Formats: sequence, C-alpha cells, structure tokens
Amino acid sequence: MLMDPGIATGPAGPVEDIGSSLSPAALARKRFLRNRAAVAGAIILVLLTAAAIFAPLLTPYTPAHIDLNAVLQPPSGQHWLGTDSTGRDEFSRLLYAGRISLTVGLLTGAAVYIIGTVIGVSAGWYGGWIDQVLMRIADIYLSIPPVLVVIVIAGILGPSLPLLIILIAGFSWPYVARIARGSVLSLREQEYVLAALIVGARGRRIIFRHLMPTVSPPAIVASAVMAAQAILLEAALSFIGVGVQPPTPSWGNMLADAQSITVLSSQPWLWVPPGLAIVLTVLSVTFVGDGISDASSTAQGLSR
Amino acid sequence: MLAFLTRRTLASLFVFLVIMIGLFALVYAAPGDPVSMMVPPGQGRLAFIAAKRHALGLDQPLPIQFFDWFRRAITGNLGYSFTTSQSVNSVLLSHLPPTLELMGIGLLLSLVIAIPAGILAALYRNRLADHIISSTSLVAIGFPGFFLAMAGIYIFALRLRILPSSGMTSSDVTSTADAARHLVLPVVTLALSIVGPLIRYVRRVMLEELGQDYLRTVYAKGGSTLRVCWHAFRNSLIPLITVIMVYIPQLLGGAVVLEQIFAWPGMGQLSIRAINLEDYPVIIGFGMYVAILVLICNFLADIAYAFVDARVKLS
Repeated sequence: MLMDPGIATGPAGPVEDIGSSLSPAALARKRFLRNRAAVAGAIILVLLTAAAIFAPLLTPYTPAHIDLNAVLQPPSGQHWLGTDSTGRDEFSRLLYAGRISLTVGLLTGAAVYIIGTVIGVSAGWYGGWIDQVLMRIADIYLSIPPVLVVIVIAGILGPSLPLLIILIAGFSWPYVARIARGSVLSLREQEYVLAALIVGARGRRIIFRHLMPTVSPPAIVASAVMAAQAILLEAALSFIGVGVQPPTPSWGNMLADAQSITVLSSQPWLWVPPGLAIVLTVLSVTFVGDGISDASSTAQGLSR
Repeated sequence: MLAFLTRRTLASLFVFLVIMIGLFALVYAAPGDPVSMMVPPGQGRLAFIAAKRHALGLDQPLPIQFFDWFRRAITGNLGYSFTTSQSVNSVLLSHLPPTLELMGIGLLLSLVIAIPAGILAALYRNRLADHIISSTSLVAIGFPGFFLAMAGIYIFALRLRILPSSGMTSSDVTSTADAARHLVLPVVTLALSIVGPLIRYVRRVMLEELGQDYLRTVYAKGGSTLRVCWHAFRNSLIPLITVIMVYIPQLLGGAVVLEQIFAWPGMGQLSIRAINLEDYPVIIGFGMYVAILVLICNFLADIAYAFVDARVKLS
C-alpha cells in the first residue's frame, strides 16, 4: 500500500557550487542558512521556546490567576492580549500554553525518530520476513487516524497529556520508519557497506557507523514533519475536549473556550492569538524541516 | 489474483481481530464495574451481584468472555447506550448519514481543487504558478481546520452574514437551498484540511508521468498540451485512487473535529457527547465502526492498486 507523507519532500533546488573545500556538514549549514524560510522558522522557534521557558519573567500574571474585576478586557498596556471571561490574562495563558505545544512537538519528534529509525533500519537491513511483518504493521498504523484513536482510548481511560503523547507518537512512527527503511535499502547495495562487511564489521558497527549518517537526515526531517503534525493534533484534540484539560491552558483548549458566537464576534483577542500561535509554530517546524532536507541532500550530492 | 485476494482478506480479518481485542481490553479498562452500577444498594446486594455476573457471563474466563462479546459485536449487537438506552448500533447508524454527507462532498471538493492545481503546478514546474500553488499547499497543511472554521464563521456568518454559522438546516425553513447554504462552511473547511497534501501528491505523480518517454512522443507527434495532460493524468489516476482511499479515514478524523464547531449532528458530535457523558458502549461502538472503515479503505486501496496497474506484481 502506498501512502505519501507528501510533506517531507521539499522542492529540489538547483545544486549550487559552494566550493569543494568545506566538509559536508559545513556545506549543509551554509545551504540551510541560505534558505530564508527555514532560517525564519528557526528564529521563530527559538523565540517561541524562549518565551515558553521564561514565561514567568515575561508576564506578571500566572495563567490561572482569576481577576473578576477585569473580565473580558480588550488588549491594553496592562493585559497585552486582554483577558477572558474570568479575568485571566490571555498573554500569560498563551505563553504557558506554548509549553504544552512545544513539549508535545519535541517529545513526539524524539520518540518518533527513535522508534521509526529502529524499526525502519531493522526492516531494511534484515529484510525477508522481518521486513514484511514490520512494514505491514507500519501500513496498518499509518492508515488509522490518531484523532480517532485518541477519541476512543482517551474517551474511556480519561484524557491526559502523557497518554496523548504516547498515542500520537505510537501512530506517527511509520512515516519515519518507511523513510529510514528506504535509505537503508539503497545503502545495502553500496560498495562501502559491502567492504565493511567483508573486513568483518558486524551489526551494530555497520548500523551506527555506516548507515546512520545517511539514514539520519531524512529521518530527522520526517520526525520534524511528524512533530508539526503532533502539535496540530494536540491542539485539535484539546479543542474537542479529549486532550489537555482546563485549567491547564493549551492553544487548542483556549480556542475551544472561545467558540461561542459572542466571543467570536466581539472578543477576537481570545481566539485569534492562540490560532495564529498554532499556525506559526507548525509552519516554522515545517520550514525548518524543509530546510534541513534541502541542505542535507545537497551535502550528500556534493560529497558523493 | 485469487490467492492475492484471499491473503489480503485474511490479513484484514486478522487485523480486525487484533483491534477487537484492543477494544475489549478498553471495555475492561473502563472505570466502574457495570454490574455494581446496575444493582441498587441494600440487603443481599453481594449475592445479587454474583447472580447478575453469572447471568451476564462475567464470571467466565476472559477468552470465553471475549469470544462471547466478539460474536455479539460482529452480529451488530454492541450493547445499549448508558444514557438513552437505545441500541448502540441504531444510535451510530442514525448519526452516520450527516457525517458521510460531509465527508463525501468534502472529498469531492478537495479533488476538484487539488487535481487542477496539482496539474498546473506540475506543468509550470519551478515557475511562478508552481511556487504559488506549492507554497499555498504547504501553508494549508499547517492550518488547523478548526481555526480556519472559526475564522470562516467570523467572516462569513458574523461579519458578512451570508452563511449560517452552524447546524444542517435552519429551524424555520426547510429547503434544498437552505441545506446547501449550511453545507458551505463545514465542507469547505474540511476540504481545505486535506487539500494541501493532495495537491503535493498530484503534482508529484504528474511530474513523474510527464517525464515519461511516451509523452515526449505525443509532443513530437504534435499533440497539444491538453492532450499530453490528459494522457499523463489518466496514468496518474491509479495511484490517486489508492491515496484517496488512504485519505478517507483522515477525512473522518477531520469531520469529527469540525462537527463540534458547526453543531453538525454526525458521528463526531455523537462520540464527543458520549465521552462527556461517559457512555462507554457508544464510544466502543464508534471505535468498531472506525476500525471497519479503515480496514475496508485499506483493502480497497490494495485492490485498486493491484487491479488497475498491471505493473504491480501480485505475489
């Protein structure tokens, strides 16, 4: 069965002559820095992360601080993004919610990278029935939308953030596994791998020393795409009430709080900022992933 | 061919069995003991509970309980809703049509957008049209459907007042035009949520196809761009069918979320309401419906892929 993640493959730009005296890593860095969208995405991600980490320094309010004397205030010098119906400061809620989204993205990305490469490399390297079984399992996981899994499982066990991350990661690794498997399959036929086998290198050494340097970059890109998807998913699930539970703010449940017609029409500061925050984060991760993908493929192309 | 079909069918059935075991485990993990919830407090409660457990087969070994449950589930007996006492199957079936309507029209619309856009991007590869289409589709992937929906309600329902904000029909008028107006926002947002990956997909398969030698021959023989496009498109249709099958479950996922915003009385609203009311039989039933949908789509994708493209070996 075919499934096209469709996202991991960036536009293949023209190969530039950057000079041959640089190492592949330096070439990749140089190439990445030329990709304006990727650099902008990286800068935004750094800023967002810093804002989430240093949230207590950036805002005098805690996200749960209720002030019934300052209800539904529009943005002002005191409350930069206004307040909600219980007088909670929207800006501090936005910053603290960022912690959730970035945690989900980071943990899912890392988990998916590890699970995906282990399974993908095993499938590609050992081949035969191991490959068939693993890829069949991957196909099945790939075809089940995580939203629906979380609704059924979290609906019964009760929603929680760890469960959410486990389920999202548990259903996102196949993308990475397929890509890792693909690169291993092509590497298996390379002379240098054969040479390593002939001089007696075995399993672990070949995998870590000879396969991973080539398998890793595309797997990282795929993991970044999945991290972006995970952030979207967390928001969607929190939005429908099976993700992060109030009073813990998350961009998704902030949007859910702002669903009523009155809020939509007369308090746009309650729903536009969290929505834009999701879009900004997801696009930044996607662009950075695209940048890494372009940069690493060029480096390989030149070093070959 | 027959061997291929048999193998795929068996594989699907096996996966179905695994999913059902998972659902059964969830039934078990659901908080609260169903029997002690049924039995009123008072004298002889413990004996009564034991008798009830025996009557329901809950004192049997787990595998036997599972096969009992499994047999009932596949014959359509999914138990009764805790809240409405209707049979789970009839509750689910009555909420199915609105969701199918949303998904069907949403899929059509996304194809109507994605196919021409993808072809255009492929034809004008690395030129302005391609850049615009490709970056728009990339941005579309990053847009959460529910945020888009809220923005849509804000602009078209609250500011411009040209479209209704929720529901399938207005309470006072019933006409096709009214129903159609209610469809616009949900269907458009749903279509936009999958149109990004679809465009990128169409672009890629078209590029692959356009690079084939037979199309150069068509050009050389004086065929117009339109003719070349048609040839290429017909051949990229095969993988497209497979991909559509894969996107149908994703579409259901999107519809479930959007139904919340648009108060669309379908499976999504039903399942979220069931979660809020802790109506476990309905949630489990929803899980089983999803499993069946996913497996059927997968199976059809495999078949379509193998049937239509002679280059795919069936062994």
